[in-house]
Amino acid sequence: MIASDDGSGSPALDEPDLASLGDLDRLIHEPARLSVLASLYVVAEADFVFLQNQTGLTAGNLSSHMSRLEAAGYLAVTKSFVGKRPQTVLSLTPEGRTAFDRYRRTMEDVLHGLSDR
Amino acid sequence: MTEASRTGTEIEGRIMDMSTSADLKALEERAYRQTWNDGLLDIFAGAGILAIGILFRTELAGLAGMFVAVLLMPFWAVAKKLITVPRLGYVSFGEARKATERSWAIRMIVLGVLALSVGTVLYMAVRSGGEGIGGRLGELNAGFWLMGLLLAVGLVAGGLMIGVRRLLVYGLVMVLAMTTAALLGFEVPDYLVAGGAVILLSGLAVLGRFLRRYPRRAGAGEG
Repeated sequence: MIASDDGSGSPALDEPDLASLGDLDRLIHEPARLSVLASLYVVAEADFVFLQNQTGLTAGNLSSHMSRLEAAGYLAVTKSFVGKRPQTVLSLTPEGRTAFDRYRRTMEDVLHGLSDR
Repeated sequence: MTEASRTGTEIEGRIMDMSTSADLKALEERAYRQTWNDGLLDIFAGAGILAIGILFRTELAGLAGMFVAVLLMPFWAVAKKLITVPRLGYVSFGEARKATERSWAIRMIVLGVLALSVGTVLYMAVRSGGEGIGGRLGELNAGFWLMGLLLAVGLVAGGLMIGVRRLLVYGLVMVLAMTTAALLGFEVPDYLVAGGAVILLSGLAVLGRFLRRYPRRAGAGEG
C-alpha cells in the first residue's frame, strides 16, 4: 500500500482511518451492551427473558446494562404484569437505532481497512 | 462463573461470532427459528395427522377428520403461552418478517383452497364412477395420492415459511410413508397414522431438548 503523502494528514481512500475509532460510541462498544443492542436491532421488541437467552447474560448483568442504555435514551423499557408475572419489554428507540447504525458503519469501515489483503 | 467473568471472553466470543459468522439478517433468522424450535408445531401437526388417520380407519367422520387439525389450533396457542414464552421469552418481530409471514399465509390459503377444490372435483368424479374419467381416477386411487401429497406439500411449504428444515424432512416422511403404503397395499389411514406418529414422536423429542435447553428462570421477567 502506498501511504498518503499529500501533506494533509488524511489517509488515502484505501487506507484504514484509525482516527475514526476515537469517535466510537463507547456506551455501545462494551461487548455485553453491543450484544443487547444487536439482539434488539433485529426485532420490534422483546422481553427480558428473551434477551437473557440471546445474550447469555445473567439477570443482574443484563439489568445493569439495560439501565445504562435506557438512561442514554437508546432503549425504551415497559414494565407490566402478565397475570401475576412481571414482564419487562424492551425495544430500541429511534436514537438507539441510529446510534447502533453509526457504530456498525464505523466498525465496518475500520475493520475493512484492517483486513489481511 | 461470576457475572464479571461472563462479560469478558464469553461475551466477546459471542460478539465475534456475530461479526464473523452471522450478519444481522442471520441474527434475526436465528431468533425467529428459535421460536419454532419448541417442538409444539411438530406435536400438534403429528397429532392432527394421526387423528385424521385414526378417524379414517374407524370411518367415524371421513373428511370431517380434517377439522381435527383446526380444532387443535387453540390448544397450540395455549401451549405456546404456557411452555414457550416463559422459557424462551416474548419477542415480536419487525414489519419485514410480518410481511413475509402474511405473504406465505396467503400462499398457503390459496394452496389449501385450490387443493380442496381439486379434491372435491376428484371425489365427485370418482364417486360417479362409470367408464369415464371418474372410473379411471378411481382405478388410479387418486384420493390416496392426493391426500398424502397435500400433507407433504403443506409441511414443506410450512418449513420454507418459517425456515425450519425439520418440516421439510416431515414432508419427505409423508411421501415415503405414502409410497411404502402404496407398494405394500396399505390404505390411506395406514400411512397417515404412520407419518403422524413419526412427526409426533419427533416433536416430543424436540420439546424435550427445548425444555432442557431453556429451563424456567427464577424471577424471570423482572428487569
